[in-house]
Amino acid sequence: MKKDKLIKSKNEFPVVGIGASAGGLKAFKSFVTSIPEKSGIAYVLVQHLDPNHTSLLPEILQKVTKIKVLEITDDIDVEPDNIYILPSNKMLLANDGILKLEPRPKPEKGKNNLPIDLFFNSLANVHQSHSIGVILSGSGSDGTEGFKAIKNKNGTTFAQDEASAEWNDMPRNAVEAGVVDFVLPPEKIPAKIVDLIGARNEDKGEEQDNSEDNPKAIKEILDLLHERRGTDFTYYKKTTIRRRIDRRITINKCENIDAYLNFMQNNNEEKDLLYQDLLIPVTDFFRDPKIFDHLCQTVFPHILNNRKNGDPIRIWVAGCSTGQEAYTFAICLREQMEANLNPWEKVQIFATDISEPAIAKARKGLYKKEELESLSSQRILKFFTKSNGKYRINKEVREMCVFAEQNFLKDPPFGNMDLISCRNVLIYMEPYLQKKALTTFYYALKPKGFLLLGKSETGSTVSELFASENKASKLYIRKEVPGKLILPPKQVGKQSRRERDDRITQTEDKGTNFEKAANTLLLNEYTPAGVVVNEAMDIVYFKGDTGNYLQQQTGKPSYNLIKIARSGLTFELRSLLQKAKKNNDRVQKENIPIKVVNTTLVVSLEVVPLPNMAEPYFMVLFHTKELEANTVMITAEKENKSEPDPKDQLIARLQKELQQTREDILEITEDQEAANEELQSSNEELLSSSEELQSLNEELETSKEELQSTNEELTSVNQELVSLNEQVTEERNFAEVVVETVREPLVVLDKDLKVISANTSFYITFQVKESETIGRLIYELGNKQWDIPELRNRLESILPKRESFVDFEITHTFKAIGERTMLLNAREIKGENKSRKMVLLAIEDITEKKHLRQKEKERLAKFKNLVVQAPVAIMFLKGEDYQVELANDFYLQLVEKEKDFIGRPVFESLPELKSQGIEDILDETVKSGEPYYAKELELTINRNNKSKRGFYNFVCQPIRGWEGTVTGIMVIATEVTEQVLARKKVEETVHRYNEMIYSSPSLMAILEGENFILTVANDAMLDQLGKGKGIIGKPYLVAVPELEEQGLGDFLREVYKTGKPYKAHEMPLYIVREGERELNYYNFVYQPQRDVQGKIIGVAIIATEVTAQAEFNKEIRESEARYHQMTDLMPDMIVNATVDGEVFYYNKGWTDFTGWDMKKLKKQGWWNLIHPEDSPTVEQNWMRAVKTGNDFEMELRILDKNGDFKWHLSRSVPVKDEKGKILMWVGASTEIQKLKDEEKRKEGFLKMVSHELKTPITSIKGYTQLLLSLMEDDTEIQMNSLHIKPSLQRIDSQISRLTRLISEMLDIDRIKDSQLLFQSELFNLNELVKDTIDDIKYAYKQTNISLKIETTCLVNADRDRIGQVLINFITNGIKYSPDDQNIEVRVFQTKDNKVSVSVKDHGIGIEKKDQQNIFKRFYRVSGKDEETYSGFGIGLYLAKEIIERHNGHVKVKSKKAVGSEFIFTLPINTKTDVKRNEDE
Amino acid sequence: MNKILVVDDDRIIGEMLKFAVGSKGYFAVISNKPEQTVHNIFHNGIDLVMLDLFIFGVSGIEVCKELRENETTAQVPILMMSGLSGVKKKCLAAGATDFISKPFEMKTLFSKIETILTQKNV
Repeated sequence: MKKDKLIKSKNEFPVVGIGASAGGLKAFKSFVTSIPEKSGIAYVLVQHLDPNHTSLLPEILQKVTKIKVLEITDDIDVEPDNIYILPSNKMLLANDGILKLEPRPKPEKGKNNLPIDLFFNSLANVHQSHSIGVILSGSGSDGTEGFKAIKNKNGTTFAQDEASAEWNDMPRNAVEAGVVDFVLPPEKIPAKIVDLIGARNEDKGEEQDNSEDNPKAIKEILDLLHERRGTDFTYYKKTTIRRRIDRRITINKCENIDAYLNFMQNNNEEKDLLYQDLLIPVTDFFRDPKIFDHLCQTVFPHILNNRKNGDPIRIWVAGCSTGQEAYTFAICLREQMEANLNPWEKVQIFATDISEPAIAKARKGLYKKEELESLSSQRILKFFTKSNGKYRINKEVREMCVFAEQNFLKDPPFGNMDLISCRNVLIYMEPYLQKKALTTFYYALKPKGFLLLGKSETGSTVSELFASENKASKLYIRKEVPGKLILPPKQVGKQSRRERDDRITQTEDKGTNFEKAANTLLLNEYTPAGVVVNEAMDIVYFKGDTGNYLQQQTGKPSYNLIKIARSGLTFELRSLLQKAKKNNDRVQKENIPIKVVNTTLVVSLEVVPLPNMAEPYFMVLFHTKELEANTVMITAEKENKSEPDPKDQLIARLQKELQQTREDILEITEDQEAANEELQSSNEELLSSSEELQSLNEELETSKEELQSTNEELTSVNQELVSLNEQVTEERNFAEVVVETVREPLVVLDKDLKVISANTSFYITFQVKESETIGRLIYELGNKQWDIPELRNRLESILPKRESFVDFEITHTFKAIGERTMLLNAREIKGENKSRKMVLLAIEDITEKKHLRQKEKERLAKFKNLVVQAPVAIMFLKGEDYQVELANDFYLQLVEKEKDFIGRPVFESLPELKSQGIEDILDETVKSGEPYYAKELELTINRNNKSKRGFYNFVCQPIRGWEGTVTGIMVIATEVTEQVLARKKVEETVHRYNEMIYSSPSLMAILEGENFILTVANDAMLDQLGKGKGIIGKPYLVAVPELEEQGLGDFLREVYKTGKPYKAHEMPLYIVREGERELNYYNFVYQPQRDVQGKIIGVAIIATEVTAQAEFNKEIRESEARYHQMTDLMPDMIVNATVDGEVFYYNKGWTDFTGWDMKKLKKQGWWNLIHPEDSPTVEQNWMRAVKTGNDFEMELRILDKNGDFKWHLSRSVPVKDEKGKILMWVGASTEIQKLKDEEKRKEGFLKMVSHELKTPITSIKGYTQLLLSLMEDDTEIQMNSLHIKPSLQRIDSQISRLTRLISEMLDIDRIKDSQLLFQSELFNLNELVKDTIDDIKYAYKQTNISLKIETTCLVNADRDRIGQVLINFITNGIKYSPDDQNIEVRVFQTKDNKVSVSVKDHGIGIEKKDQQNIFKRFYRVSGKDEETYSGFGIGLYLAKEIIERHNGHVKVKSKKAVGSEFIFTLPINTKTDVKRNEDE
Repeated sequence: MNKILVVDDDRIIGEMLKFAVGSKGYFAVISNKPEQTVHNIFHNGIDLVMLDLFIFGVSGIEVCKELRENETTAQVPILMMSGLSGVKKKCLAAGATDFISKPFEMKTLFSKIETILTQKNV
């Protein structure tokens, strides 16, 4: 609704919206199950769903029906015979056959999401009267507002019945709101819908056929309503009425309107229902709040400020429906007035409506919470009181409003209003009625009063009456129209209405169209010009060109015929109209000459009263003859007759006289006109007064009738009263006799507490005389002996507060009769008339009774008090079943029983005691009559359903009756469970404590008092001290004097004084045993002993002899010191670390190197001294070492005290025990910076050397090869220098070797440092092999190298390096095969999908023992003839390194004296497999 | 006749190369002043530069870059050479057309020169 404008549906089929919430699934199921397969209806199900939960509803429902169940996706087209379901987390809007989803908004504070309302609303807007809503089970009130919308559009609504709904809040709410058409169980709804739609469709078909008949039937229906309810709906909007009637027809399933007419004719209930249906009760608090804002801001202040003092504010809410609007006005005004600090201005809000139930509801002022939704919570709080879940409008607001049933079109209006609000009422009426209503309002308003209309209504139909104040608010101000009487349009009677209808049907008759055309033509062409005037001669209609006859005069424009008629016509017109009016017949006058500009016209006038008009209207017709000829003739005559003829003279004189007379008449006429005008206005005023009088008269008439009927009522009431009076007298006599006879004194007092009457008993009892009593104040009676302040207070409070008191006890000393205690009862009696209030005082003398009772009470109380107050548990038992007669609180607490324990047999409450021997004890007590004493008896008692064992002391004391027999037993009991348990616990603790001391292998002793008496000492202690058991009981320091000598006495005294324990660790002490000093080491504690109050009473000693351990520890310490001394002497940096790798010792080497002291080293750790580039690797390796227990070794840089990093070789090894468990780590770091520097220099040197070497080689090689090629080119040279070529070739080959050696020298150095660089590329291995072999063949021409290729593949590797390996293999083969120059090279694929190249020779072979070593660095097979096999011994080592760094491997198969086969294997073409070293 | 500029600090290598390429029908100009390379190319109408990656003095890499940045020499093919291993990539990155390591087989040298010049002429 927010974004897209709703488009009204063009859908040809109905859409049913179904809403449900809690318990809706079941209802949905039964609903869906009963939908017929082909209904031609689309169903949309809207359910309250958890936004975070995916609904399974479509699946569930699809199971029970054959109709397609679809979850709604956005913009889905609605098709008939489908069921659509709202997905969770979405809101649904219906829009022209397309269902639109909107994201569900976050619920506003305090407001729930109401998706059903929202959907119904849009459904109603789009599908109008086709919309059908169904509310099924659910809690809350969602749907009700939506139903209202549907009803507004004349749709149909269903609700589930309460019996079948699991939750019936939602359907019930809708039903209560009065917007539900059918209440049915869900399974019956679909059938009903189909029925209704069927009926409606049939209707539609007939509607067109019957349209001619309809007005008649409708009129009859309206007549029936008029008759029944007195409201004439004739001029209500036809469409509205037709719609409403159609709805009733559909609901009542009548075939057509005539059937309905028949149906309702004798059905008053239906008439009422239709009547209520026609009055559409839709309203709300603050409907269109902007309007009320406007009212509050401008209109109300205006009204409040612009009125005479004391004038009440009068507002009329016409068509107030259920009162919300009236209350809204009241609330607004109240707020306004409170803001102005004059809250009690008189305000009268007249709220009227034609609907009786609506007014009834308005009067109650009781609204549901939902109805208050448009009100702010402050307003609700301020102006409403909650009662029974509904809200009642507060009295102050309610009293501002007067509600009345009224038809403002018919009933007399209210008058003198400041504001009239009539909103959304006129829209139901036809313009005629609207005009009438507005005129009525015009009369009801004060001058400049305000009129408020509904949004789509307008006051412009009577713009002469109202001016728009605010267009947006539809607010109008009453215009002042001075001296003009506005009559409300007379209600046209039935007769004329029929005529009008007939006329309309006639003119619409096609057959007479030509006639109409002809008539129009004739009228226009051949009829004279004329006007229609009313009685006051005001023109209401012009016909034809009247310019010749009428002329506006200077001044205000006028429509008065007389005023604007040309001068010659005025007089004639007036007299003609008078005549016509008088005779009510046609009159005419001919040949009236008038002057128009320069010509004279002869005019004939004709006045015709219009027939059949409610008011008299006259048509004035002008006929013209232009008599120029005549004029000419007259002038000619004048010219002809030069001599004045006596006749002519006479004529001239007469004419002059006539002229004079005419002027006189004109003057008189003007005077008369002025008088007439005055009269007219007086008349108008009179008329208006008369109207008002008339209405007053009518009201008076009704009042009179009411008075008459009241009078009659009064007469009959009077008769009743007379008979009642007789009855009263009779009863009074009866009462007086009774009063006189009762024993108790009775006094009747008046409102001043003067005695009106008293009975005989009173006089006797209090010894007063009647004459001294009557008429006196009660306090003054008998010399003021009744002046009792308490009584006075009581009595004086009765009348004002309407209280009464009963059995008020009072004790008072009377002079005559002494001290008396009385019970006083008093209450107000209402006299015959209410103003005379009296008090009846009844007195009962209870002096004696009280005295006795008091004594008894005191005695009992004393005893009871004794028992109850006793701080022991006491219980009295009586009878054979030992019924509990009394048990004090202590006893009840003891057995944990409630008061109901008393009065029941004791074993009923405590059955468990019976079996525990208590019954025997009681029986014995009764039998013997001797008391029974029980001490610490163990009993189990059920307390709160739990068996509790306890110990009890109790006495059973027999109680003897009068005759000395035992009648009961008094039981006095105490629970001693805690004491017994505590005692037992103490005993046990002491036992355990002793056990512990004596069995402990530790040395234990307890010294008591400040003299440290040895009270307890275990055997271990005694043995240690070696002085026998005799020392127990003696002061410790005296019995073992050597301790005092060694200062332990001071420690003991310190502990005793301060209460702080003293602990000693490996303290050496000598003990004298058998005269010999023996040195031992001890760990011990002197622990202060305290009593319960915390006072120190002794010292406990717990000691262990730790001589062996102490000596061992000492040894370790010494060893450690030696170790540290040693490590400190070493130039290396040594650390010791725990098993977990935490360093706990650094030697002096560290402090010297880093400049940090030991403390700083330990705190910061050596980690922070490692070069940041090295530390990740160091950490990783170190962690791995710690984890695996393997040695740690690496080179790293450590920061020295000058801030330079120095290279170190760090090693760490674990120290293990016999079982191989790691005890600690020892690490040593040796500075190798110098070594590193040397290495770097060496490398630079090698690089330089190789480059320097290569430079001359390059030129040598170049020249050699050039020479060789020159020789090949030039045959002459070749011929002449046969020896030169081989020599050059040899030089060339040696240079190649030299080059290789230089390369290898560098490579070997690099391989060591992992600096060998590879430049990978993808290449064909076979090509490389072929090229290499070709190159070698070039150098070794005598060698026969065969190549066998078994596979073709690409490898990703450094081509040159692999070539280098191959060269190495082949040249090796050649080198070590002095006799056989056959080398076989083979390329093949291995089983694991790699490629191998093998180089096989038939040379000297390698011995088995050497085969392991040939790939090692600088290894050379030693032979007899070493010179034969020159080289560094690094070729194979390099080959192995190169191949392995390409993720490949090398292998050798060899047999001494047979030959060798070297094989290298590489992975096939996978780029990622090759490690790629970055360039320098 | 294609002209080749040989830039090398070793005079003997220069002469050898001049002799060698001369035998194949090219005309070689020898220079041991790398800073004059641009000037040389411009004035002698050079078709190919053989550039040594000097260790001492000016770096061949710098010269190569300079040639590539200078509009007049940007298109001239450069064959870089060196006795150091593992520098080929660096040279190519600096803009060299090809690289040959010292000492080289004459066959290889000739084939590279031929290839470069053929490509250039195409």
